Amino acid sequence: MKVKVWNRISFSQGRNAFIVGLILGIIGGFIQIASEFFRQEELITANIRQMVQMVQDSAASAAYNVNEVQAEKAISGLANYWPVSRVEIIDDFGTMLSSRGAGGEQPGGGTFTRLFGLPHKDHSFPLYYYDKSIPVGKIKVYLDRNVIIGRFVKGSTYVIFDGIITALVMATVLALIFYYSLTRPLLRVVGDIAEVDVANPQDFYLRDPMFHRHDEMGLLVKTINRLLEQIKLQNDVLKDTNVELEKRVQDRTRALKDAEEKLIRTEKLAVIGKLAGSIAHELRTPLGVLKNAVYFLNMKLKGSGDEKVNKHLRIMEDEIHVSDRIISDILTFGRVKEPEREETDINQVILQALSKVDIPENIKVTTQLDNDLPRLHIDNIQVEQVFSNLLLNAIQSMESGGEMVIRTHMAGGSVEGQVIDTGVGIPEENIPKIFEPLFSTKVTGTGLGLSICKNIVDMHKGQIHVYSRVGEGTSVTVKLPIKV
Amino acid sequence: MRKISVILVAMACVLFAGNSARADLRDPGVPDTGSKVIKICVEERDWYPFLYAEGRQARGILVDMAKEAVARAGFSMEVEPFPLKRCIKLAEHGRVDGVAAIPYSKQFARFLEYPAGAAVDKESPWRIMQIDQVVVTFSGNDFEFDGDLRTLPQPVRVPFNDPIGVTLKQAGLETEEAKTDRQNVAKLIRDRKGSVITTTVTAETLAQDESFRGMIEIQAVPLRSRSYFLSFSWKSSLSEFERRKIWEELERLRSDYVFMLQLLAQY
Repeated sequence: MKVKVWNRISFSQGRNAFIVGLILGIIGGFIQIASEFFRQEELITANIRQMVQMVQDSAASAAYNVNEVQAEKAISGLANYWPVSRVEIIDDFGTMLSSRGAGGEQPGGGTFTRLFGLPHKDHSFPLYYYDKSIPVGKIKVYLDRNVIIGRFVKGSTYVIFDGIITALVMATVLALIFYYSLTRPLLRVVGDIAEVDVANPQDFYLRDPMFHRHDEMGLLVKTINRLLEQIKLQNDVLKDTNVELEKRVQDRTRALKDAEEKLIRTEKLAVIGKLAGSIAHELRTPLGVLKNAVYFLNMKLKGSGDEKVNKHLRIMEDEIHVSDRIISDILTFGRVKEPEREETDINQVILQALSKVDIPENIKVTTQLDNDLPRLHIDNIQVEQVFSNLLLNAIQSMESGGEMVIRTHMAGGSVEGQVIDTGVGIPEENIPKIFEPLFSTKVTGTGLGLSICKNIVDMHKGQIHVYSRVGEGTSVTVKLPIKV
Repeated sequence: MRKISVILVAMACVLFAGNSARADLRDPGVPDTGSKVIKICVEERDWYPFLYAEGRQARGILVDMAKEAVARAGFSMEVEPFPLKRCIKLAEHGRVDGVAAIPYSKQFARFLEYPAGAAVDKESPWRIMQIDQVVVTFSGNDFEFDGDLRTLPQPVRVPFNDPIGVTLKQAGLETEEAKTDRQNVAKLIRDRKGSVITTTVTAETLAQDESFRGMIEIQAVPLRSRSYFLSFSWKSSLSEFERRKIWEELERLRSDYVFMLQLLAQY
């Protein structure tokens, strides 16, 4: 940030000082010239008086004799005196005997006399003859004030130049003083201020003004520093407020997102529930007919010994069972109701679920149930369904065999039930989506199992967590509070 | 002898120009009114015994004659000597009633009233006196004046403000002026050239002076003879009758050779 030289205070002050100095110099010069002029004029008048005294007798004789030639001679010397514009000898009859001029300005004329407003000036000396007994006329001497001033002005030219030079020097000195005492410190302050990042002033303060600590510059720097301090404090407050606001926004956003997700899920669930109702109603009846038909065929053909027929009958029976289960899932999902709580042993609920699941031979099941667990106030049917779904998922993830561990234990104020498998695992990106309705990685899955699990756990004020690694297996933990 | 004869001629001109005779300076028949004072200016020049000054007092035969004439006319007279030009100016502005012993001049006549015939008469009956002017030259000079002005040796030195100076200048001659005839003669001897115009009596007096004896020569042919008057300012309060009366008294006095001899005897 730069200020042009001619815009600087020091320059303008120097210029002002020059103008003032020049004006004062001119006024002073005029006064000096005027006083010197009047002093010179007095000297000139005294000289003229002396010169007149020298020619007075001759002039008086000329006037007495009315002799123009003699009069002319008498005043010739006086008329040649440079300040004199005209000399006249006038006799006592009023007749001008002689009038001689030096060729200067006529009385009342002249540039300088008009400029200075000086009136015409003349001196009159009476002439007497015979021992001053007879007045015979007078000598009249006109001063050429124009010439006097002109000479004096010419002679005073150096004074004027001297005044101008003095004014210039004084102006320069003043400008330098102003520069070093005002402009430079001010520019330094301005430079410091320009470097301050008002948005983030940190610990930046204006430099100590050194020789100006106790003057206005020091006061300015102190004031600005105080201002910066206040800005810094305000910034800190603002920053804290921003952080808090950001946190609030994040919380609100998260809450909003949750609400939105909940809404979407609710909407989805509502749609699914509605759909499930109609599907269940329409499929359960023909499926029941098929089930009865297969039962009848089994009874009739059980003893035929045709293995191929028996095999196909079993396949039909299994698929009907699968279809029935799918319909049950859908119906369960659509009809999730408030849990009917009663004191229940969670281990028994898990074992009940395990007993209802067909476990392939290539899967090893290990139970690690804590027998000291407190009884929980839960809906045992709903919780059994949760673990049934988890066990089925685990079994389905281990088509080529593996190990399944079922574990219960205390965790703070909750009881945790875990189903751990060594199956294919779930990709990381799918983990957040696995509780969404209709999301499934399996070909035959409805995508409702885990969603139903989460709904049930949520209604029990519990939590469900999934930990999985592709190729290693999955661990699902259901955490149910002891006290509801 | 020649010089003596010139003096006698001059004296004769002055003293015996008239024919009336008077025994006393003052006519007992004339009332001495003394009521009206006439201021008269006379030329301030050293022209003894006719006119001269002692301090600021004018003296001389001409002054006495004028005083006597004025007194006989019934007035008293104050006389004051001034240079001729100043006398003319005083008269011009009416500060004096008249100028005594002044020749006629057209220039003067603008401010002064002269008696009738003053401009033309060779010898006016109303004059105070008749004076011849002669030419004085350096004695070693062979010049003889024959009456022709143009032949005068130059510079021609004349009395200050004498009307002859104007005449000579008009004739194309170089002139010089001095306050007194003595000064003019001294310059003549110093320069040994030129000439001096003066009156016959003055010339004879200077010729006898120790300083100039044998050094100057008075030309036999006079330059001219002029009547000198008592003239009055046009602005004077004197009436025409009173002026004429004074001139008549002068004429009578000048004719009274007894009075004139007695007057001359005083000088």
